[in-house]
Amino acid sequence: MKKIHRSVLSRIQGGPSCKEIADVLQSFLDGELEKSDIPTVKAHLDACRDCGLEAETYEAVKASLAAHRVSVDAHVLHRLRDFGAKLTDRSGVASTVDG
Amino acid sequence: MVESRPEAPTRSSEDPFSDFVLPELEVMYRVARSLTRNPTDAEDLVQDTLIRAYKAIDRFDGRYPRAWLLTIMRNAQLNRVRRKRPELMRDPDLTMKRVADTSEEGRNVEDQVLGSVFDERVESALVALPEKFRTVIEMVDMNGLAYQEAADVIGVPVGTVMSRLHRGRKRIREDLEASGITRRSPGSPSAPRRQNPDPAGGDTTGDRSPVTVVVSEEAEAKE
Repeated sequence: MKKIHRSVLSRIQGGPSCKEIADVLQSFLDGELEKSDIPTVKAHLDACRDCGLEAETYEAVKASLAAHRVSVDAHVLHRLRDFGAKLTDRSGVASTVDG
Repeated sequence: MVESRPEAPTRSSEDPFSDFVLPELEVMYRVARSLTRNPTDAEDLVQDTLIRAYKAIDRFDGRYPRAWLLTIMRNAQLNRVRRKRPELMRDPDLTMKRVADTSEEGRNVEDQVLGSVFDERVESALVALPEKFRTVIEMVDMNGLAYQEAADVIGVPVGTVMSRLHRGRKRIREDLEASGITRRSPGSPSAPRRQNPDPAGGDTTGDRSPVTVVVSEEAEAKE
């Protein structure tokens, strides 16, 4: 999947500021950050207490939200797979869709 | 001289619908649940999407099937909403049922209580969010979509997805802080420690030349 960000952190002499880390933190946590910027962000989070705590809070929120993922009923999936399979049925049974 | 283009994945597939569409059914259903707030409507929406995808499969180049399908689903949902008047009622069961987590056995009681309180607070904060923020968070954090995929299904620029996602999460975090359930406060006894607790490299000056803002300001201005 195409990354959203251009690599900007690596060009900053002396390392990024907390503000600059905050700008990319969410993308970093979502795995959407340019690969070359990841080590820089990780190093800052390990070294900076406030930014590290910020990251941990957001990670905990993400984990909590992910736990709320709607469970998919196996019967529903089966029906949908069956429906999809019928669209491509090549056994001579009439398709439900006009071609 | 004309450069030969790489063969599209669909050209090498005998059954592109089965190969590219059917594996995405579970993701499609989860997204449909977020869009419709109703299990029956979600199933109908997925079927609608499958029909449209089947009709259009010959025009699909085989690249990024999920993004392609989610765009189709968005259009299908727009058509469904237009046909149904008035606006669909939201599923009142938005808070979702909690399933007992047997994996918490072995954790001490205090951890379980704190974890439960944290989760319930996050859930309450999520429900309280404006619809546009909540939808993006559902798509990315709960349905596992990438930014571009969420943008495709919602029908907004990816910068808008990022803006809404970040602002929605920030509101949840602020809610947690206001409730006293937080991991942010430095020096708090419950605050977790990083591997290197001494922020020797911490930046407190902040005076650097501005860099390109990750979330487009244009997208934020439209919110």
